[in-house]
Amino acid sequence: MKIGYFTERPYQDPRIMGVALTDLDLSNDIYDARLSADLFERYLDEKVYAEQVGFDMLMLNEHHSTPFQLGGVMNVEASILARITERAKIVLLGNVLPIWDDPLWLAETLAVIDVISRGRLVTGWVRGTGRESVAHNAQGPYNWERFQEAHDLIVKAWSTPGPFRWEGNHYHFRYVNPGMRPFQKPHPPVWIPGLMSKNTVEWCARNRIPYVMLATRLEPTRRSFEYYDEVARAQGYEAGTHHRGYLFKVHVDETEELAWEAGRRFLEGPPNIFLEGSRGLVNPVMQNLPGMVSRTELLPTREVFEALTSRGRTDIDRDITRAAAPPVLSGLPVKEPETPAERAMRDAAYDNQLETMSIITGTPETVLPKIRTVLETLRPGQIFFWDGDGAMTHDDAMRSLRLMGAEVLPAVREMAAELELHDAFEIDPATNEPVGASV
Amino acid sequence: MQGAEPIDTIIAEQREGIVAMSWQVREVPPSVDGSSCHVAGLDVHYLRKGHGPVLVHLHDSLGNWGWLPLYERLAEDFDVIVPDLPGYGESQRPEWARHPRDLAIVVLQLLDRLGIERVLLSGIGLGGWLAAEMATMRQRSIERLVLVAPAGIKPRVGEIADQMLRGPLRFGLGGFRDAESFRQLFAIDRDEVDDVPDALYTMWDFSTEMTARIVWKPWMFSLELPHLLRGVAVPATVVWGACDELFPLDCGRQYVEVLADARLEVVAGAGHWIDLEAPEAVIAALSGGSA
Repeated sequence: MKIGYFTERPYQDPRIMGVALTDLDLSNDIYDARLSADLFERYLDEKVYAEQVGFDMLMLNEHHSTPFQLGGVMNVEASILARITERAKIVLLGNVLPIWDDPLWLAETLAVIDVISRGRLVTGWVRGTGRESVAHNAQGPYNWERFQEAHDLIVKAWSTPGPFRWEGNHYHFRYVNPGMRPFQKPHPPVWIPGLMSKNTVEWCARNRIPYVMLATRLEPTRRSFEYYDEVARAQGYEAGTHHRGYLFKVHVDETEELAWEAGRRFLEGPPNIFLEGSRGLVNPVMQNLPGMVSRTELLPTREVFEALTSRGRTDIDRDITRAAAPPVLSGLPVKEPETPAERAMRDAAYDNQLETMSIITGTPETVLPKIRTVLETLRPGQIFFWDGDGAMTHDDAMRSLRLMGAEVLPAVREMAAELELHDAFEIDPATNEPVGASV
Repeated sequence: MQGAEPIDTIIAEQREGIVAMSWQVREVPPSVDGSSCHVAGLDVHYLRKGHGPVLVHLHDSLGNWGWLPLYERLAEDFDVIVPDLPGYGESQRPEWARHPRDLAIVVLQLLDRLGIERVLLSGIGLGGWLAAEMATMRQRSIERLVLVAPAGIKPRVGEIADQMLRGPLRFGLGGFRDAESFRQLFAIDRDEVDDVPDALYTMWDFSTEMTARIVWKPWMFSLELPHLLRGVAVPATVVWGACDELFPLDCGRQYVEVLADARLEVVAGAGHWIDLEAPEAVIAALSGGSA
C-alpha cells in the first residue's frame, strides 16, 4: 500500500472564514498576495514534512476562481515539490483536461516535472466542474470529448517519438515533437480521481486506469469499485486493489479533545462546497453548466433529472431585474455571526460526519480501528489522508503529521500487508504483473 | 439609421387582440401541420399553416416556444413555416454542428427539399442571426428580411447578455419588458405562483444545451458576418424592443449600417421577446410598411 497526504490549500483569510458564500460569487479583488505567499509557504513546508515523517505520496489538486483552493495552478506547486522533496511520489489529481486549449503544453509541463523529480510524477486528469469550465471558458458540451482527446494526445506525445501530426476533432497540431519527454517510460502513471461518475468509472476500467474516489461515502464508494470490477471482468481481466484509490479525511492529535476541536475546523474554513457543513453554497447555473452533462443522456429517474436540471429558487421580480446584472459580486460577503440555529446545524453536520467516518479524528489509538474499517470495506491499494484543511492551523497540521508518522503510518502499513492491499507500484494496473521497483 | 420612430400607438391599439389569443408552450393546435423532413442526414421538424407567400420564421436560442399568436395571425396572410432548428425541440441534433452558420445552411437545404424558391424570412435573437447568414448565402431567394433583435454582430457599446452564466431562467426572464408583462403573457397570478411554468423552463433548459454547442466564444456574434452583410441588398427591417435588456440596440444600428436597404424600428414598451410582447411590430415589418 502507498499512503499519501493531501490538503486543499484553503485561502485562510479571516475575513472569509466561516462566511456563507455562493460559489463564484466572490471578486478576486479580496485576495491579499502577502497572505497568499505565507500560506503557500506553509502548505509547501507541510508537504516536505509529510515526506520526512514517512508519507509515500504528496497529493495536489486544482480548482479555479475559488477561495477554498489556492492551487489553481497546481503544476507550479508540483514543480517546486519536484525539486525540494526527494522520495515521495507527486500525485496530481488532477489537471482539468477539457479547459486546456493547448494540451501539448500540458504534456510538456508534466514531462518537465517528471524529469526534475527524476520520475516521481503520478498524473491524474479530471473533467472539472462547471466552475473550472467557466473560469477558462471551456465549452461545456464538448467537455467529455475534449477530455478523451486531450488524454490520447498527451499519452501519444509522451510515448511516441516525434514529430507526428495530430488532427483530431478538438485539437490540431501540425508538429508534435516536444523537447522534453517524461523521465518514466513509457510515461508517468495515470490515475483518475472522481466522485463516482459512472461514465468515468467505466472509462477507467476499460483503460485499466486506477480510479481514486474523493472522500465519497463508504457504501456507495464500495459499490462503485464493484462496478469497476464488473467492467474489468467484461474486458477480460480481474481488477485488484492496485486499481483502487481512496481519499478520506483523517486528523490525528495528542488528545481526544484536541482532535475533536481540530476536526471540527474542517467545517470552519473558507466556504467550500466540497466540505460538508461549511457554508459554501452551490450556484445551480455553474453546477449545471449547459452541456456538461447532456440532457439527452440523463438516466430516466426523477431524482437524477431533478438534481441535474436544478434551477435554484425562482423569484420572478428579482430574476428579471438581475438578468442584466454582472454575475460576479464585488467586495467581501458580509460576515454575520453564526446564529444558534446555524451553529446547531453545523454541530449536527460534524456529528454526522464523525459517525459515518466521513471525518476520522482522534488519537492514534482511536483512529486506527476506523482506518482499518475503511481499508476492509473498500480494499484500496493507495490511500490519501486529507488533513490540515478548513480552518486548521499550521500547528494543527504539524501535530497531526508528526503523530501520523510516528504511530499511524507504520500501523496502517501492517494492516495493509495483512489485508494484502497491493498498490499500483507493486502490481502494474495495465498488465496485473509485478512491477520491478517499488517506492 | 432610418425609421427609429417608436410605434407605441399601434401596439396600444392592437395589444388586446393578438396578445390575448391563447396558446400553450410547445403545444401544437390541431389546425397547424407538424411535419418532418430529412435534410443533411437529420430529421428536421417544422410547424406550418396558412396560404399565400411563404414566410419562414426562425426561433431564438431558448427554442421554439410553440405556436405563438403571432404565427396564427400571420397565417391569415402567409404560408407560415416555423422550424424547430436542428438540435432544438423535435428536430434531430447535428452532433457535428459547431457554428450557427451550420444551422443556417441546413435551413436553406430544408427550403430546397420543400421546393420553396422565394421566402419572406424572419428570425429573433439567434434565429435573426441565422436569417442574416442565410441572406449572405442566398439573397435572391429572399423577398424581405425581418430581423427581430438579432444576434450576430458584436455591440460597440455594452454586451450581449450571457445565457450561459445567467442560466436559461434568468436569461429567459430577462427578455421580458418587466415582471408584469411576463405574468400577463403567461396568465400567472402574482399572489398564487411565483415561478416559471415547467414546460417553459424545460424548453429553455434543453435548448440552452444546443445553443452551447454552436455558440460559445465569441458569445452570440460573428466577426465575419458584418463584412458579408455588406453584399446583401434584400429589403430589410430590423426591429428592436426599447426595453431590451438582453441585446444592445447598437447591434441593430450596425445591421442597418451594413445592409444596403434596411431600416430600424424601435418598439416602445417591448423587451427582447417582441414576438410575444409586440407581435404587431413584427407583422408590420413583414408587410413592408412603416409601422
